[in-house]
Amino acid sequence: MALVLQFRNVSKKFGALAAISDLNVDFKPGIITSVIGPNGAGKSTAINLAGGAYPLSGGAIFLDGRDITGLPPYKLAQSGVSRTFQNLRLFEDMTLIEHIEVCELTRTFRQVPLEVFWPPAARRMAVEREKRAMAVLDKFDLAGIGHVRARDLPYGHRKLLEIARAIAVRPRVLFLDEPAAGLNFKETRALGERLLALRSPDLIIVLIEHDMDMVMRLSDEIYVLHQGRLLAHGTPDQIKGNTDVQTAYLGSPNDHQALQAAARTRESRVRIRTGEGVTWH
Amino acid sequence: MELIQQTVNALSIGAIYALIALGYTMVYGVLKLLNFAHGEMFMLGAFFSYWLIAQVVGSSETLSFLQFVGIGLSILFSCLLVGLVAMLLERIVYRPLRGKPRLSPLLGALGMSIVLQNVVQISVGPGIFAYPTLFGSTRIEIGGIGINRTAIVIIGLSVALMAALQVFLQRSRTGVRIRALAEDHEIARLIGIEINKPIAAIFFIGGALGALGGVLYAANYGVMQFSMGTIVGLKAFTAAVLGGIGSVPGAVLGGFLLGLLETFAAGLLPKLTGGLIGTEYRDVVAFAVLIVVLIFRPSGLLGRPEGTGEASDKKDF
Amino acid sequence: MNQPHPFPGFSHAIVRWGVLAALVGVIFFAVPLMAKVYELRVLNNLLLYMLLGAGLTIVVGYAGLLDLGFVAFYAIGAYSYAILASAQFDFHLPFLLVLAIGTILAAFTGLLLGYPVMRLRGDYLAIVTLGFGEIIRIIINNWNGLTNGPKGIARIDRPDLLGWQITTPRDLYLFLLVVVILVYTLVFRLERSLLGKAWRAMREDQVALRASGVDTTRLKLLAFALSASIGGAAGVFFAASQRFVSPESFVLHESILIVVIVVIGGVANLIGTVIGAFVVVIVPELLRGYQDYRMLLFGLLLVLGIILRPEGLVPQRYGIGWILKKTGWR
Repeated sequence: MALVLQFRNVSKKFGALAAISDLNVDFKPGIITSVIGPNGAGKSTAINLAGGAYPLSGGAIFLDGRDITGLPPYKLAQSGVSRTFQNLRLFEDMTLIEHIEVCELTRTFRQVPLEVFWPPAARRMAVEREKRAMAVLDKFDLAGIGHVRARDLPYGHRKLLEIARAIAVRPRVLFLDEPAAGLNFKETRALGERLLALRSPDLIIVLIEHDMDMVMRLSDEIYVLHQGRLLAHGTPDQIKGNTDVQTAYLGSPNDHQALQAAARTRESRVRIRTGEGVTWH
Repeated sequence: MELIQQTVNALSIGAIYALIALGYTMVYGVLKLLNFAHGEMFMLGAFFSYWLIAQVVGSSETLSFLQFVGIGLSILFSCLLVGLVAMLLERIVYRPLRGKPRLSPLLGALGMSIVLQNVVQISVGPGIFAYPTLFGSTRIEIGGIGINRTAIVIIGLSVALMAALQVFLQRSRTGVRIRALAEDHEIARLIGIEINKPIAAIFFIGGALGALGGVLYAANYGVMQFSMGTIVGLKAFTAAVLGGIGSVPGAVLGGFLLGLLETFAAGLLPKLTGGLIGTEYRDVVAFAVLIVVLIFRPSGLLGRPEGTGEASDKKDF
Repeated sequence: MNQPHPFPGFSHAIVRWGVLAALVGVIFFAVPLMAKVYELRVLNNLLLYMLLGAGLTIVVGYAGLLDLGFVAFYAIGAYSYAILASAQFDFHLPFLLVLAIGTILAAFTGLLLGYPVMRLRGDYLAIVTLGFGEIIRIIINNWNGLTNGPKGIARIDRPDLLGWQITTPRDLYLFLLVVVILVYTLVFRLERSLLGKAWRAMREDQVALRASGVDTTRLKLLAFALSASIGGAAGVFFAASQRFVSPESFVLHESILIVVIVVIGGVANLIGTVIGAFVVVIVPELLRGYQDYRMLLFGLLLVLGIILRPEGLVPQRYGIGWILKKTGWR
C-alpha cells in the first residue's frame, strides 16, 4: 500500500461544539498538501488529533493502512507522525544541537548505561551525536549557531529550529502548524524555499497556514475546511476558482487581501478564535 | 445510635478540614502555589483566640452575657488577625517570588512555616495547652439522639461560612475578579484586572477561615500545641487535592469525605481485619484512598481535567 | 571567547594536578586527622545529606518532579539493613549484600509507586509522594513484629567492607567520602548523558518532548527509580553508621529538609546541592549557641535566602561542568 495518511470519518467534539465532523481526507507523499480555512474551521484540531493530543470522538486515522488512532503522542512520533506547534514549543534553556540530540533518545536508549559508566565511549558517542545533529541543522543553515541556546535566538531561527527538530525524528508525516506566522515577508519567502526543498518521495508534508500567497505558491493540493467540515479539495488553481470557497472563506476579494495583510503582520500574541474563546499564545 | 454519633463526629472534623482546605485550594487556584505555611494559620487561630478569650473570661467561674459576647468577638477578632497575618505573608514572602521558579515560593512557604511555629514555641513554650470547651459538652436531643453541642456549632458555622464564601465568589466584584484570575492569570491581567488586591483578598479569607478551623478544632478536642498545624494542615491539604485542588466545592467535598473516611476507617479497620490492622492505620487509609482516587481521576473529584494539547502546562515544576 | 583566563595558572597541568592533590590531601588526610570526634560526626551527617541531596536532585532537579516523600526510600534502605544485619531476627547478612538489597528494594518501591501515579501533574504527584512517605512511616511505626515499632531497632551490626571493619567516625568519614565522590561522579555523568539532556528537555516542555517521540512517562519513572535507589543506599549507610534506627528519623520534616537542600543551593546543579547540604547541616550547627532560637533563625535565613536569590544560592551556570572547564580538566 502506498504511503498515505488517511482521516476516515474523523470527528471531534468539545462539549457541544463540533470542531470536526465526519472528515475524510488523504495526504500523499512527495507533495505539499495544505489545509486552509477560516479561524475555527478545525485545522489545528486536525493536527492535534493526528498528533494524539486528544482522543477522537469518532472515526479513525490510518498511516500506511495501519490504524494509528488513539496512540499516545510519543508512539505517534515514533511511528512517523511529526509536528510543529502553532505557538512555538522549544526547550528554551537548551542549545540547538541538544534540541536535535534528544530526538535520538528512544533509538539509543540502551546505550545510556554505557555513556554513564564508560567515559571513553561517552566521548565517542557525544562526538558522533553532535555530528548527526549538525547534519540536521545544516539543512536549515543553523549549524553555525548550533551551540546557541534557543532562548537567545531571533524569532525566525526559532521557527526553523522547531521544524528542524520535527525533521530530526525522521518523520514520514510532517505537520506544520502555521510555520510562517510572525515571520516577515522575506523570511516567509525563505521558509517557502526550504519547505519546497524538504519534499521527498517518502515524506508527507501537511501545511496549515493563513498566508494565502504562501499556500498557493507551495501547495500541490489543498483541502479547505469550513466549520469542521471539508468544503473543497483540489489544486491551488481549482481552489482559487471555487466559488464556494470564495463566499464561505475568503469573502469578497477585498477581504482576501485584508486577510493576507493580517496574516503577515500578526505579531500580537493574543488572538480570539471563534468557537474557542480567547487563547493565549 | 452509635453510627449517627460517629457520623456527626466525622462531619465535624470534616467541616474543619474543609475550612482549612478552602485556603489551600483558593491560593492554589490563583497562584498555583502549595502554601505550606497555611497550616500555621490554623495553629495561630487557636493560640490567638485562646489568649483573647483568657483576657475576656479571666478567672470567673460562670460567664455573664457580656462575657459570652466577648468570647464571640474574641473568635472573630482572632480570625481577622490571622487573615491579616496571611496577607502580610503574601506581601512579604510570596509576592516577591511571583513569576520565579515554582519551587522558590514553595521553599519560602516552608521557611515561614518553620518561623511561625518557632515564634509560637518560643513565646509560649512547647507544651500542650488545655483549650476551653467553648460550646459546652452537653448533648442536645434531636429525635431521641443525643448530639454533642460543639459538633452542631462546628458543622453549622462551617456550612454557613462556606455558603457565604460561595455567594461571595459568585456575586461580589472581588469574587468575580478572583475567579477570573483563577481562570487565567495572563488574560486577567491583559483585560485590566488588578491582580494584587484579589490575591490579598484570597489570603485574607483563606487565613481567616483556617484560623476559625483552628478555633473549632481546639474547642472540639480541648487541646492545642504549636505544632498542631503540621498534621492537620497536611490532612486539609489532602482533602483539597482529593476534591480537586483549585476547586472551591471540591475542597468542601474533600474535607467532609476525608472526615468520614478517617472516622469510619478508624472504627472499621480492626473489625474488618480481625484486629490485625488497628486504628493506627487510619491515615494510611486516607492517603491510600487519595492515591487511588488520583489514579482514576487525575485532577481530583471535582477538579478540572487536564488537557494534553497545545494549552497544557509546559512544565511540571 | 577571547576573555583572559580567570585562573591563568590552572591551564598548566602541573598546577592543576597540584591543586587536586592538595584538595585530596585536605579532605582525605588533614580533615580526618585533625577533626574532633564531634566534628567528624557532623561531617558524616553532612556527607549523608549530600548523598540524599544527590538522589533527590535527579527527580526534583533533573526531571522536574516534586517528590515530598523521599524519606520513604531512605527509611526502606535503613530498615533493610537494620532488619537484615542486627540482633532483631539474628540475621547478620554482610554489609555489601544488604547495600545491594536495600538499593534494589528502594528502587523497586519507587517504580511500584511511580507506575500508577506518574501520569499525574506535578502538584498532585507532590501530595501523592508525601502521602506515600507518611504511609511508609506509619507502617514502620506500627508493624511491631518486623520493625519493633516506635522503639526502633538497636544493636545493628558494624558495617564490614570485605574485611575492613568500619568502627570509628573517622573510618566512616573516609568511607562516606568515597561513596559521595562516586555517587556525585555518576550523577554528574548522568546529567551530561543524553538521558540527562532529555530530562532537561522534559523540564522545559514535556509536550514538545513527547511529540519528538520520547516516552516521558518512562523518563519520569527512571528518574524516580534512580533517585529512590540512591535514597535507599543512603538509608543503609545511615543505619550502619548510627547502629540504631527508629521511625523518628523518617518523618515528613526530613523529606522537606532534603527538598530544601536541593532547592536552596540552586536546583539541578550538583554544586548547588553540596552548598544546600552545607546550609542545612552546618548552619544549624553554627547556630547551636542560640539553642532556643536556632530553628527560628534557620527558618528566617531560609526565607531571606530564597527571596534574595529565588533561583538558588549558586547561579545555574556555575556547576561542576563550569569548574571542570575553567580549571582546564575539560
